[in-house]
Amino acid sequence: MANDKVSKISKRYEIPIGPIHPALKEPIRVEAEVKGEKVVKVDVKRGFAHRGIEYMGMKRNAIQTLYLSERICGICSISHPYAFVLASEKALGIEPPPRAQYIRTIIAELERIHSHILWLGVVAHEIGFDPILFWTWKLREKVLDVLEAITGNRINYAMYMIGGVRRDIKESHILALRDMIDYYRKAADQMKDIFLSDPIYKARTKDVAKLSQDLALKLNIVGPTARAAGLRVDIRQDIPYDAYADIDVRAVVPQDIMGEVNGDAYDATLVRIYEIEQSLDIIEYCINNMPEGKLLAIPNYVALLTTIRKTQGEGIGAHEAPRGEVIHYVKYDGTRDGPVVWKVIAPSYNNINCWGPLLLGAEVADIPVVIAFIDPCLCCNDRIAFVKDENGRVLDYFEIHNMSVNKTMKIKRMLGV
Amino acid sequence: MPTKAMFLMIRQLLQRPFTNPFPVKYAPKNVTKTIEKVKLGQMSINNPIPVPDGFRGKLKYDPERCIGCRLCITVCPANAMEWIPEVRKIRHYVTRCMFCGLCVDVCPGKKLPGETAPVKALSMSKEFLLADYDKYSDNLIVEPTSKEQSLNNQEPSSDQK
Amino acid sequence: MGTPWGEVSVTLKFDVPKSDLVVPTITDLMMGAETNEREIREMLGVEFEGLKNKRHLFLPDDWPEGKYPWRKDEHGVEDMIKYTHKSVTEIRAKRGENNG
Ligand code: SF4
Ligand code: SF4
Repeated sequence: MANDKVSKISKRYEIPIGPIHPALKEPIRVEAEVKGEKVVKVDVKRGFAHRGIEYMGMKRNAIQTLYLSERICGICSISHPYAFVLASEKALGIEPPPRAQYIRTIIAELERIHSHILWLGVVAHEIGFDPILFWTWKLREKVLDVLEAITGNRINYAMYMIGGVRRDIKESHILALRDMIDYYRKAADQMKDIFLSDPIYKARTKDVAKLSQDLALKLNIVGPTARAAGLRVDIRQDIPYDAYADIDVRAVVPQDIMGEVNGDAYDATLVRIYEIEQSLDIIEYCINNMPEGKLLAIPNYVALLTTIRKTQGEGIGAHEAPRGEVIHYVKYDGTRDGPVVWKVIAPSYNNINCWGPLLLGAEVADIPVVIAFIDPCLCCNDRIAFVKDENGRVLDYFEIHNMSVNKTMKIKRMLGV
Repeated sequence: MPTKAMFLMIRQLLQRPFTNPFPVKYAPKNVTKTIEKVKLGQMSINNPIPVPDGFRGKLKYDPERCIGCRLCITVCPANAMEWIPEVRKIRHYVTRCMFCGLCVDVCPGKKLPGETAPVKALSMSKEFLLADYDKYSDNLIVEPTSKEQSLNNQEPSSDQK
Repeated sequence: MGTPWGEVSVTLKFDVPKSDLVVPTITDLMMGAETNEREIREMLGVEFEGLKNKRHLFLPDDWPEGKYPWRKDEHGVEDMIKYTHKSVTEIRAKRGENNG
């Protein structure tokens, strides 16, 4: 029996993860080859959620396409329209009124808060801290309530329009926003306690999914994942747009907070928690300095469509979504009232590049953490993977998840907690 | 070694549930009876929490005020509007709708005699419980039921189930 | 990098004759460009000289050879689906079924 096991461990086994996998909110496939506990070869296959949405957009008019882009992803349901309106405004030469710019910034930051808290919950779940998952998601309700009050719905806000926004932020909303800011200031301190100073969380995420600065640059990693590796990249800082141009946004990097960079999952947590605080500051600045004025540059949609039909132009819009930069390219050729070319590059498109190198040499129990680390969003990109054990049996999600949970238990015992 | 997370968990255990309460604590044996009891005032249930002001629910359509400009069809991202040429009105499929509210924004509406400003033909209601087994059920199609229409839209006799 | 307004984005644009769709790869300089190059390759049919991983990225593995969804000069956006998908007749013929 023992001999049997040894001979088997020296063999290589293939572990497929996905296309449907509970660690993933969306479909992608990762084929990992394992030797004992170590992953020795990985292959990432994506494309399972490729819906040809860009083609649908090229058949519709610009307003329809804008709302189609909102449906690319539920969690980033502001990021895609944001990039799309930025690109369209560049192509058409429309300048949104200042008040609209501030409102857009506020909504985008609210979305960042809810997305980051969601990520914290997902990572906690992956390492077996389910109570923390429920606790973080409870915290997330507050920002969703505020978004619901401002925009009418919890997700899919239907807020943006080429040349402005559709709804105003009223006095009552500002009160709710201020209340929310106080709530999250307190919650962020608690989150720092729970995540950053917890010995088990530290043991489980330190040195896992370690991404070096050099590799991050080479693989075009963007967003919080790149910032966790110590790169100062942030579209809000590098090419500011809308209200970010008035605010001195600086990329949040671990070296400014802790003095050192590891680029591991712990640093990613750190970056995301501090970014929540940064977002609160941005929202506070925006509501204190909100200019008065119109909401839409061209208030009449029919007039807007006519303008588009008469204009030729192309534009690239970049927005710092919660997961990284989302880029839309739009081209209008003056014959249709919609884009003739529309291309979307979502943050996960580039961030998934790092799964291969990161999974190499990782333990099987760490796979969920590595996968969750970049906060993949496959509807945006269109996604990782399954694992077979030593007998060639396919491990399902629950087994992998259990392995991950067991590792946490082991560490708990080792630490004597 | 107790960690901060443990204290938090224990505190959580002692708190009231954070989520909105269900109408009743346990699933009733007989739902119809429970509803009747509530109607008679013999029982109280937890009322649903109100939706916010700007909520976008099922579309309401007032064919009287529709001028047949077809703007809503132009902007609708989901193609949830259908043009009925005979009566020059629209038919709205709720199942296709994605509740963006663009059609409401764009609708010009009509000024009835005696009014100072036009009133839109479309508006968003707060109705959101729209689940149904049949995607073409009457509840999910909003259409004009004027006299001209009633011929094409003869309801099946009511004894048919 | 790292300062406000510090990023300059550069767009390079060049024309490649349709008869000779080959450009050199930049994956040796920037590993991450592999995703983009693979996408361009499968969607437009542009070959990248030196690109190692040539598997399809978004399209399924059994996508018909020589059909490229982004080539708008060959077919409009409207009939992309008709153009790029195998017809039922084609699939049946391949399976050896006769469609009577
Ligand atoms: S709410 Fe939006 S999706 Fe629904 S009918 Fe109106 S425009 Fe179409
Ligand atoms: S519902 Fe409104 S927008 Fe639609 S056709 Fe009638 S008047 Fe025009």
